[in-house]
Amino acid sequence: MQKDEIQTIKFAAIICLVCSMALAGVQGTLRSRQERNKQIDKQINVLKALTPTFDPEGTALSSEEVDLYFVQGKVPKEWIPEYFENYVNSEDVTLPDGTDSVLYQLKKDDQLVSVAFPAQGKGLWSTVHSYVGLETDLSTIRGVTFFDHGETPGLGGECSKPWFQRNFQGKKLYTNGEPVKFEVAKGEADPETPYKVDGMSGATITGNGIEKFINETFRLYNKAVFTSQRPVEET
Amino acid sequence: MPAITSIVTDPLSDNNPITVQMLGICSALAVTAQLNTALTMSIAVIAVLVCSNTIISLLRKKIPGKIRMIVQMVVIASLVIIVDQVLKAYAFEVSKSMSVFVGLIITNCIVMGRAEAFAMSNPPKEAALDGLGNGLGYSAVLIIVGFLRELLGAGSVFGVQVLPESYPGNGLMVIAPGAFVIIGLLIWMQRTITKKYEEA
Repeated sequence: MQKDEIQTIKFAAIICLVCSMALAGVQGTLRSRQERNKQIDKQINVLKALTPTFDPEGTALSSEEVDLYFVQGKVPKEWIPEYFENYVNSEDVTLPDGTDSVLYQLKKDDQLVSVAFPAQGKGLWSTVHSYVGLETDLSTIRGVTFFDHGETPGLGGECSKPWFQRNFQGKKLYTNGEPVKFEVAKGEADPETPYKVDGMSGATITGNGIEKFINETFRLYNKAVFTSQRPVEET
Repeated sequence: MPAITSIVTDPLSDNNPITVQMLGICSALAVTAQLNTALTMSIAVIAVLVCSNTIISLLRKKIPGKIRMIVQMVVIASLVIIVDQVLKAYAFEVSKSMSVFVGLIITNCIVMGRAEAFAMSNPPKEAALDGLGNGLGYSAVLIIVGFLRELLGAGSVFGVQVLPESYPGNGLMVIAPGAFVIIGLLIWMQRTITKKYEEA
């Protein structure tokens, strides 16, 4: 081998070594902070589903305000894990299809306020993640949040907007002793129908995906936990 | 060798990386819907450009000609990953709303272009200033576009509502084509003022 080829290989090896050491160093130093950020982000999402009209100080907030409150830093972020620890109880659940999952319960003064479960599934381009929060009747939606998706901004991406998420509030996943077929409408839903929400225009596939995974996940949770815990339905 | 001041000032207008050299357009469209992300992107690109130019310039006599592009790429990629990690740790929300575009600074032609065209043949001090100048030129366009898009699209500046609540918001400005239109108009305006035209 010629001399300058050996030089080239040596140079490449040294550059790679130095760069990878620098990256490892940075990653090691910043990891704990990044993980904390991620955890807080997750907790914010769980809270949005559990309590869209969240009230830390006795004032009820709209879901937009909750967003302002948490995401835009009107409250020190450190406060969220503390709130989470004090009021939110997470319980491990094994679903009928064998997967391990989790159920969040918001409790105040030992009174159950709401529950939330994670649900995710394919939209058009990506996996859409969500939490679905239910009232204590374990049938009515209290809040939902969709996040961490790669849907088209302005079309399917609208699913992470407050208007879309708000339109789930008060809808039913369960009536007359059985799970309903929940639907994301094409266009506007009839406001009288308790299990249909307005769709996003130009995003049929994202809507169908959301509809499918909410229905499926709710049925799994229903079988695993809700059926045994649901209070007797008034008719 | 060009005078020190012109190294910094040239890329601001006469040799602006976006409006004259037409580099880095992709990110200028993607992250300028709000001023906040435009500003963060600007700072990130300036940091990467200054560091990469300095490092490449320091190594310029040692880098073997055959693998110089790859070496530049490794240096730039490492710097971008560091910037991305720092943003994730200290500016999580902004970094989330910028998603992949921080990582895509690696492919921003301005960075590699300056490394190859300037840092490979100039000493570190000049190279750093060249990086700064080009970074500022890029930032100037991003901030103008970000300001106009946020103002016309959402009626706000840095997230603070400045136009009356009744302002409906211009949907075109929120999406990427709106940035295209604004950058086009900027280029037109600049060329009308400087009287410099592209030879057909």
